[in-house]
Amino acid sequence: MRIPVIYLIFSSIWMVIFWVGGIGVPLGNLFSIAFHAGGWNFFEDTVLLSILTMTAGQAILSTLISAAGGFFLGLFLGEQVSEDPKSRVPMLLALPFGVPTLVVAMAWVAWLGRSGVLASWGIHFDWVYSLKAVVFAHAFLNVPWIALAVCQSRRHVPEEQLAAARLLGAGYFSELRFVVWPQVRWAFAEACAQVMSFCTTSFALVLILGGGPPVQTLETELYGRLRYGFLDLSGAAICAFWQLLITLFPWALILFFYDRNHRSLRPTISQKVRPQKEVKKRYRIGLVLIALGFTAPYGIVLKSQVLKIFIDSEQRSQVLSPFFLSLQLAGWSGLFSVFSAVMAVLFLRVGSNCFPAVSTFQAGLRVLFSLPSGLSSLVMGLAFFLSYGQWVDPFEGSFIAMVLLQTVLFFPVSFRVLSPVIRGLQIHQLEAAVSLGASGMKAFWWIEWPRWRGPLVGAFAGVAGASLGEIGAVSFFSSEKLIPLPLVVSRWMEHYRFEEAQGIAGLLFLLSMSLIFISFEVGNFSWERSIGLQ
Amino acid sequence: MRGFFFFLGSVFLELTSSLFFQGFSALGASSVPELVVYTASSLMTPEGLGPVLFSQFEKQSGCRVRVLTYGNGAQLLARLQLDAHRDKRNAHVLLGVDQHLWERVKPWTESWGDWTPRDYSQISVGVSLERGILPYNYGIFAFMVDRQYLNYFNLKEPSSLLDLLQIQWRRNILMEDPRTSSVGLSFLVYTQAVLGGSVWNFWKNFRNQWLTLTPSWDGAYRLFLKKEAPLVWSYLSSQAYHEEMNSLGSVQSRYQAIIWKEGNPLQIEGAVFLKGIQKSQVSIDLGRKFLEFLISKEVQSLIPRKMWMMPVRQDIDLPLSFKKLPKPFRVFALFPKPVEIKESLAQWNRVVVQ
Repeated sequence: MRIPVIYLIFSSIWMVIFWVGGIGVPLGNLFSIAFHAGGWNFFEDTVLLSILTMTAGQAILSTLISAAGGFFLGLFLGEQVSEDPKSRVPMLLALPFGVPTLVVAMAWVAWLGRSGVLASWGIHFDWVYSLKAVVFAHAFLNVPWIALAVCQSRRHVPEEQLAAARLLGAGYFSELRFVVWPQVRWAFAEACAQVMSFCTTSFALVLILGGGPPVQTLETELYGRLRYGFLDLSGAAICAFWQLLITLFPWALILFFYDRNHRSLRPTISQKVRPQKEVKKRYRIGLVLIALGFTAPYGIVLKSQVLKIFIDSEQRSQVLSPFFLSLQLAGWSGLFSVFSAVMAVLFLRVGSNCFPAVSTFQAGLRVLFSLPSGLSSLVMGLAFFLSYGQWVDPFEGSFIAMVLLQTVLFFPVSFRVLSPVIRGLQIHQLEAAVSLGASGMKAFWWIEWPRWRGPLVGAFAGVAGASLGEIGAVSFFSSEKLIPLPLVVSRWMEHYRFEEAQGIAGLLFLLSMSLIFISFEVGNFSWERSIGLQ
Repeated sequence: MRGFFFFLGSVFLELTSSLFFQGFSALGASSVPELVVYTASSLMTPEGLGPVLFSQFEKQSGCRVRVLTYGNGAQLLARLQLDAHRDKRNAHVLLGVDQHLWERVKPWTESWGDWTPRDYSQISVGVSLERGILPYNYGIFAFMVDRQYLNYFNLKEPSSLLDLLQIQWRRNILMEDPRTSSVGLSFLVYTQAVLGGSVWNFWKNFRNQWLTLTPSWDGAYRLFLKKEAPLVWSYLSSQAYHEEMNSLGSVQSRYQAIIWKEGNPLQIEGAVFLKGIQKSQVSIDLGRKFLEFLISKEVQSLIPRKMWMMPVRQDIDLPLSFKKLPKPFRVFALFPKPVEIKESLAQWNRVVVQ
């Protein structure tokens, strides 16, 4: 059964609009202005090269630590929860990705700072404003991410294969090497690549926990070059270029090896999990506590100030409108991003039906579709502002520009969630249904929709969660009338309303947590393919 | 259940439909004359000068003031440059540039011609700038110290710039990044003025002394108040703030300013007319009236308690907390050229970042 070509035409048109209008024109415009402003001196700026080294170094270190911790934790949890399909452990592991990084940074200062909780207990860490703090915060945030990917893949390793290996005399490590590893490695590699992207483009954590130069990333340097004094578009464009290179490199590497391995060993989302067995309640609670331990420290931002926002009428009136605006922004960004990702996966799928020979081209497209995850939100915000800002009244701001900008930035999140779903399309069942007289739409609804529903909700929740904490891009199109919650935090900090700002951070934390919880419950989504949620 | 989700979806659509069409109205469609002002966010705090200043001016002149805020002075400058890049200039007046930014803002400013603001002669000689920028407040930079913290850890307060390099201050100082904060930049320029040729040696050692380098003053001061470190680069008038805000009403607050043997640097903030939008005589007159209003007695007397800075007029009676501030041995009024600042920052980058 072939997907009608009309879908190819429609998805192609959408993809052209998306890539040309959303990325090509703004970035082209920015790079052309940057080139005219100062040329391209990629290797002359020695300061930039040392920041590049620091960025790559801390990203690699953070990724390695996260990978080591996440891999073994994921294997352990996967082994345990494979007996319990209804386990909440995957959801709990997914929770940290909804926490805005501003909240993460504030929480670690509250814990590890000299006036922090640990210091008040007599435990003194004097490395809160240093590279150690940045790497620690990155690793703590990303260990559950990698653990989640490994855990979900491990969960689906068929028991029969493991039993056969044991029967043939395989020990734990042989079993791991020959049975488990081939089935978890791609999920593990993708999660590592995502972590690498995240650590490379990290901003708030580096700015707040790094203690300033020499602990810097290209993203913090970009911030300095774009937002202050000597507006250095050329330098910013070079930073963006290097950043893109570092983030895309692991993805290109994965695709290269993936193609060489014929994509055969990757588990699909449709594989069945084993029937439920009785798991001891105490044991189950223990696992939940381990998973929850990666989110619990951020709860420190939930102080009485959060309640005060609702009780104090003045604060409530100041927060209510940004609160609803943030929700609406998250909702629309989620919808547009998911829609664009559906168009993209459809485009790839129908394209592969029509042009089966051009697999290299398809692999290239998959790398291209990961591109926005390496783009700095500041760079994209500025590029949009320079290209489309002239039609926007600065006093009114532009909601639609914010939505479109976030749609572009978070497109890879949805794309990576939905991409495996279309690969597992149940063609034979669909063909059978159509031959038995069902319409195409009906066949899709009964056979495919149950597989799509969860990932669609999950992708939506991932984008919406990321949108709730995003500040770099929206700041270009905000106005006095159009301020989302993260901007209120930043503005209140500038107005020395630190405690109240922390209250909003707590509110953002609660919102993101609720979103992930609801999406998990409503969509019954297995988070295994949600690589890219950050 | 489906009905419920349908209801939720309808409410969501209803609420957001108007938002999508927001933001595309033409600027300045109102018939009331408008004055558009770019300023730093700190001016617009609820207790700050901005809300009073603009509402009073609207009442007096019968115009509408629209204010766009952008972080600090350096961010305002970046905004002007972005406006120039996309060839769309929005503001009549820029409020909040200091002497370090003034030279860089010049290409975007409109000259005063032969106009001189009323009461211009009332501005203290030590804080006047060249014609084209109207000073409206000034401050003296100083390290603020947390005495309670010093006593607790038995630390002796520094009295000279080189004292900061002592081992006891290692990771005990909060500073602002000179690339992103004019407060931080003032310290860099000040060290160059005081130390001359040995300045980069100082910075080579000083980079181990700060606990963190924040992008702006508010970040550093927040950490100072959270007792993360006992020293922060701030303003002399911060002491007056703490004295007035001290809820216990004790005469001496735990937070005090330090006077250096070498002297303390000065910051002068001013307002300018911007090029490109002053099209009619009405907008020119309105801009002039606003600048005159800024140095009126009415506004100047608000500056100490609304901005925690010093007024530029000589005839303003200062609050007691300001009168009690320690007097610096020497005040440095430094006016570096953009090229010099660029070179200093590049050298600073080489010493500190690499």
